[in-house]
Formats: sequence, structure tokens, C-alpha cells
Amino acid sequence: MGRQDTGYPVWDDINQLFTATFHIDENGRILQCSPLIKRFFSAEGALDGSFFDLFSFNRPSAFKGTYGAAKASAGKLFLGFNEVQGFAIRGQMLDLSQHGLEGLCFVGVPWLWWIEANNPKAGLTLADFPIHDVQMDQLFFMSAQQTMVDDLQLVNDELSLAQQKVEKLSASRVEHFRHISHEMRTPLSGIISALTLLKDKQHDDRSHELIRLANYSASRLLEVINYTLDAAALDAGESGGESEAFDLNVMIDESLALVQAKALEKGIELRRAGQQYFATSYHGRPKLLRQVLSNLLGNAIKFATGGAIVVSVQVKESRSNDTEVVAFSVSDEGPGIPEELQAKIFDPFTTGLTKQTESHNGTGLGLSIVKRFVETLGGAIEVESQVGRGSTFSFELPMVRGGKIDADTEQTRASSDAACRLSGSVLIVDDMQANLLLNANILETLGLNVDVASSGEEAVHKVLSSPDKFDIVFMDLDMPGIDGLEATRQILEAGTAQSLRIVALSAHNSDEDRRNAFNSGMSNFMVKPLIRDAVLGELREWLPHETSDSSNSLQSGRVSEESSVTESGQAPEILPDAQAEQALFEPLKVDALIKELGLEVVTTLVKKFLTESAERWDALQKGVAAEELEPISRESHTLGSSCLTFGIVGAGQRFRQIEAQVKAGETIAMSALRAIEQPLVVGIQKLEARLRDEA
Amino acid sequence: MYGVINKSLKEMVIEQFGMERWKSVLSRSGVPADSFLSMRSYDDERTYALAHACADELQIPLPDALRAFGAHWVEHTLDNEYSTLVTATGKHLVEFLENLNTLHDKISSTFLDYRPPSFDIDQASENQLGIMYTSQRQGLTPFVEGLLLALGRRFQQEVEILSVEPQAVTAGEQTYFVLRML
Repeated sequence: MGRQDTGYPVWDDINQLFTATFHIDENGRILQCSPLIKRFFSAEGALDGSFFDLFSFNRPSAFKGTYGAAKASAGKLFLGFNEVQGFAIRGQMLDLSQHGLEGLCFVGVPWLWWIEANNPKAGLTLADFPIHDVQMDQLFFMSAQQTMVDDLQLVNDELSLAQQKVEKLSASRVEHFRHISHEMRTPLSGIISALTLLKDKQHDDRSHELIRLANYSASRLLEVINYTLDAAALDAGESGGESEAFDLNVMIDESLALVQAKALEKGIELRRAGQQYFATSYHGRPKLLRQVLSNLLGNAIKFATGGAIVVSVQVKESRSNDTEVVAFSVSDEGPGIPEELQAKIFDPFTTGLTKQTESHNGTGLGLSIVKRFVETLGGAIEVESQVGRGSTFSFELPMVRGGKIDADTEQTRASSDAACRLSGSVLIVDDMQANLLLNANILETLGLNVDVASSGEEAVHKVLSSPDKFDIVFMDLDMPGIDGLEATRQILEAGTAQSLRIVALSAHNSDEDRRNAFNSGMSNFMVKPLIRDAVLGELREWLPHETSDSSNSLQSGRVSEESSVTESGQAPEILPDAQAEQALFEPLKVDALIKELGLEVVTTLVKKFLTESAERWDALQKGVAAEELEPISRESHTLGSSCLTFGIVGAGQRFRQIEAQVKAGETIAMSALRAIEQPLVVGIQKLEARLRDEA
Repeated sequence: MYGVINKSLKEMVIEQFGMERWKSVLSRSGVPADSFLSMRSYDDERTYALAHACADELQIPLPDALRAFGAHWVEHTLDNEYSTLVTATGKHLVEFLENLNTLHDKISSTFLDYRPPSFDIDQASENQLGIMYTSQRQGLTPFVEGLLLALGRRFQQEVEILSVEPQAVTAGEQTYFVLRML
């Protein structure tokens, strides 16, 4: 570098604005440079050569490193570096010839990123950059951004850890709830069994009322415990029931049958609406769906004080892969839910209580469980309600068509037979003496020979020492020493009791318990407390029994159907007179009601029915006389439904025929009513006689 | 103030006194959570509450707590998380202090709600440095004392604070420090 004064008049100004500057002549020689450059290239003669030899350039693109090329690239970004010195520059060329001066002027700054990467100890400071240069700003910004990323990663780790803790705690609490619920249900099963037996004894009115109250309270408690267990199972990620084939029609009928007695007691009419052609089976989780329908129906009945409850089921969409979207709804004419409560009606411990309905004192858990079950089934539930008009709960589920249904099981499930007497020998195994005694009592009332064992060891001994003695063993799963699963394995491995069936008894109702029971070789699984009808249903499959022909005693006519037209389009066939005479009255229907509700309640209901029937009969006659279809349809529907409920089947079916004719647009002659009078009167007489006999 | 301040205070208490003491500090302060993002601006009141709670919990005067925090800020936070910038700001104490305003200027161009203090340097005598500290915030002079002494250690320059002279200002805080370079 030769001359110190190149005659460039604004050189000082340029060095105010830039810290890496060079003034070079046409041969590339450095005429002058900034103090920073001199500091980095301080060796003797370091700056004596050509500017284009001092730096290698990777910008401008394809730069040839000559004065001419530099002049041609004036205005472009230059990025040059000297690897030996660990220094680099960034800036641009000014063509001084435009101002009548010699050479080019490079104006720029240290190329921070290159120096940081290749010579981090270069010792550059803020003072080495012009105040307006943004490279330091970028450095700080990037440093700050990296800090933010680190902070967010830290927060994310903290959140993940917190989440793991919460999940672990939640799982522990779920397990704790399950354990406590189980521990509560075990003694409760003893209480309920004892009350069941006590109910059948003779008591004075006061004692009877106290037993009824105790039974009601125990049932409520069992309901809460069952909800808790269901919720805990869902929280634990259990699916809720095995997938199996089922008949949707049967399930809906069963769900309605379960609540029919209560509906009757409150004067509520149950109806089915929608398509009736679910003849083919579906494959899914019927346990969950049945519970959803039962809970919704139970809820509707709990709050409604009259009117009708309508269950509607219809296929909304058919898809190519055997899947259908089925829409369900349960509508009632109850008090309705205030708008402000509708949004949280599915929250746990929330009820749609108003001043008018708060006496029902619901647990507020039912709809929460229903919502979770529906979601587990792949749907979403919603409610529409108007205060004073009623509520409709509806949901849609994707359901897979097909699957083979075990017809025997369905048949057995559908039947309930109080008159059935079993014969056979059973062994009950339970380490709780109270349960043992009570369950033995229940089974003895069914006509069975009952033996007991209070441990797994005793059960194994009793069965293996008399291999042919027992037909069925009811085996408690949770026992000290050899538990039910191990006792079952030992019995079955001995191979001596080949026709023996072992039924699991457990207060747990989890999928895992069921799997374990079946894997150990047990034939079936029952949840404690034992319910007599449920036990009967199971045992009828395997044991000889004597029974009256009461199958479908509650099935036929227990639920009215909005459309009486069958799939083939034909109206129901009316029995010929001779047969109708024999079937004017079905006493077993009344017997079943008495069994469920008690004689006193049924007598009251019948009185109410007779009073209402007289009024409705008059209204029907007036409708026929005036040829007004609406009252004819309404009154014949209600009369038919009530008659069928109380076993007055002759009249009931005739009312049904009138209803069907009206819906088909036919007129009804007065003679059609006169034809009902006789079977109606006879049916009522027989009903009253039956009640007198029972009394 | 930016979260990096609160974060640094938290780190100091945890490093020197343990997590349980920090939880007590947090509980005393009423600050709802202690996950701070360095470059997010938080209400100044949150930082003051933490500093007061820290002094109460450790049963030391607030100025002492702030001095300790100033030292921790330099020795841990600046050196660990912003070492490149510290190095770029100056190769020795005086250069660092002289460039500090420039650094703050640059940060202000990126972080728009940044309200940094200023440090105006004058050479009081050959071995003495005069520093006029000016801040929109009040009560942080002890923090600056701790910071200056720690910076001396950082640049291997033994220093002594000869005087701390509060200046009369209508808002914020202004203090004139005289440092002796040993």
C-alpha cells in the first residue's frame, strides 16, 4: 500500500459509515484502507499486493477477481474472505470514475457470520461495526430466539412431567375408586340379597314400608357404585363390553321391558317409532348400547309424570362396507330441562332439576355415563328440550351389519319366569359367610339342592371327592388362599367332573376379570349381588326345569308400536273368534306385573285403568259417531295398549285393528266397537277375578 | 421486565438455597407460576414481588439480595446464555461499559418494548471511572452495584466502588458510581 492520500474527497465520511473500506487502483493495488483492516492485516507488506489477491470471493456469483469484473459488478454484494488471517468482508464496490476519480472504492463491514464460523476468537466488538449495521442485531436476535426455543423446550419438558404425574395420580385414583367400590359392593350385595329374601316374608305394614325403603336406598347405592365402576373402567381405558352379534330389535324390546313396570306405575305410555326392520343382526358392543338406552329410558320415566315416552331407531345412512349409521332418540313429555342447564346436563353430578322435579333427587351420574358410553361407541349425544314440553335425547352410531346371534341365549335372556322350578345340585363358593348363606337361600327357592364351600381349597375338595354330585359351581373369584380362578383350574385339570359347569361370581365387572374367568375355563360370569331372575336365566340353559308356558309373557303387547303395519305391509291378523275366546285374558301377564310391582300397586293401577277406560271408551264411541279419525286413533291406541298390558288380549288386539284401519284411512263403523264390548267386559271380569284370587 | 430476569432470579435461589426455598419464595411473592420465557415481557411488579419475597424468605435486607442478584446476573446468566454478545460488547471492562449503550440500542431495535437503562462513562481520573446509571425503574441501584463488581471479575479487573451517589430525578432512578480500578 503506497499512498496515504488518494485524493478521494469523501474518504473520511465513508469511514464514518463503514468500517471495512478499500480504495484500489486499476491494477487492483490497495491505495488506502480503514483502521480495522490495518488492525487485522498488520503484518509487514500484508496490504501491499492486489486487493483481488487478498481475498477470495464467493459473491458476486462467478466473480473472476479482476478489476474489470469488479467494476462491472459495482452495486452488487461482495463477500470475500482471507482464510490465513481469519477475516472476511461484506460490502459493495463504488466506481469512482463516475466522479472523475481513479479506481474503485470497496465500502463494507466485517462479514460476521464467516468470522464467527472460521475464527471465533477474532475479537470483534460492537465498535468494529457501524452503528447501523444489523449483523450484531441479527446475532442478538438469533441468540434470543435460541434462548426462547430452549425455554419452550424446558417448559414443554416440565409440562410433560406434570402430565405424567397427573396421569399416574389419576390412574392410581381410578384404581383406588375401583377398589373402594368393590369393597362397598361386596357387603352391599349381602344387604340386597337379605332384603330380597325378607321381602318375600309376611310383615306388618310398618315393617314392609321400612324394608321397601331399605331396598330402595340399597338399590340407589348400588346404582352409584355401578356408575363409579363404569366410569373407572372407562378412565382405565377399558372398552366396555366385548364385541358380539346382537339383534337390535330384541335389545330395544328388552330395554323397554326393563322399564315398562315403572312406566305403567306412573301412567306413562311407552312407544316405539321409526323403522321396524332390524331383522338382521348387528355386530358391536350391545352391553354399552343396552345400558345407554336403559339409562335414557330410566331417566325419562323418573322425571315424567305422564304422557308418552317414544324410542325412535332408524337407519340414517347405509354405507358400502356393511356399516350403517343408526339414529336413536328417546323422547319424553316430562317437565323439560331449562336452557341454562342443557349445556351441562351431561356433566357429572349435574341434574336437570327444577323446583318441580328436584324431589326425584337423581345422582347426576347417569347422563354423564351415557355420554361417555355413546362416545365410546363412536357417536355423540345431544339433547333438545323445552320446559313444560319434554326432552329428546338423540345420538347416531356407526353400526356394522351381520354376525350370527346365539338364538338360545337371546331366547333365554328374553324370558323371565317366576313359576319355573329347577332341579339339580349346585355348590356355592364364597369366603363371606353372609353372601354364602344368602345366595344359598336364593338358589334353594328355585328348587335346587345347595351345598356351600367357604374357600377355594374346600371347593376343590368337595368337587373332586364327589365328581358327579354337582351340576354347577358358583365360584367367587376373590378369595384368600386358592382363589376362584386357581380352584377352577384345579377342578378342570382333574378331569373327573366332565359335565360340571363353573360360573364366576365377582363384585368386579371389568373386561379383564371376564377374560380371566373364561381363560381359566369358567362357563359364564355373573356379577354380585345375585339377582334371582338373572340366576334363573342362566340355570335354565343347563338344568332340567319345570315351567308353565309363560315365555314372552311380558314380550307380546308390553310395548305399543307406533306402526302396526308389518314389513310385508299387512295389518296384524285378528284371531278367529274361537281362538279369541280362549285368549281373551292372559293371567300370566298380570302375575308378572304383581311379581314386579306387588299386588297393592297393581290393584291400584287396575282401578285407575278401569276408570280411564270408561272415559276413553265413551270418547272412542263419540269419535266413531262423528267419524273423527284423530280421537278414534288416539283412544283405540291407548285402550289397546292398556288392555294388552293387563292381559286383556282379545279386546286389546281388536283395538289394535281399529287403530291400524284408521291409519290406513278406513272409516270405522259403530258395529266394530260393539264387537269389542264382549271381549272387553269378559277380559275385565277375568282380570278382577285374578286380583281377588291373589288377594 | 423480560422473563430472563425472573428466570435468573429463580436460578439463583435454586442454585444457592435449593428448590424448596424457591417454592417458598414463589409462594410468598404471589406470582402464579414460575415458568418464564426469557424474551417475553412480564409486568415489572412480578419481578419486584419476587425480589421482595426472596429477601423476606432469606431474611436479608432487600439491597443485599439485589446485589447478590446483580452478581449472579453477570456470572451465570450473561456468561452462560449471552456470552457471544458479552464478548462482542467489549474485550475489557471499560470497553464493555462504553459499548453497553450501543448494545442496548441494538436490542431496542429488535425488542420494541425493551426499556433498558443507560450507562454514561467518564474518566474521573487515571484509575477512576465515573458511571452515570439512569433507569426508568426505581430501586435497582444495589443490583447495579453487584453487577459492576461481577463485571470486574468477569474481565479480570479488580475494582472497588468508591461512591454511590443518588441523583435527584423526577422519575425513575439515577445514580453516579465511581469505580476505582485496582
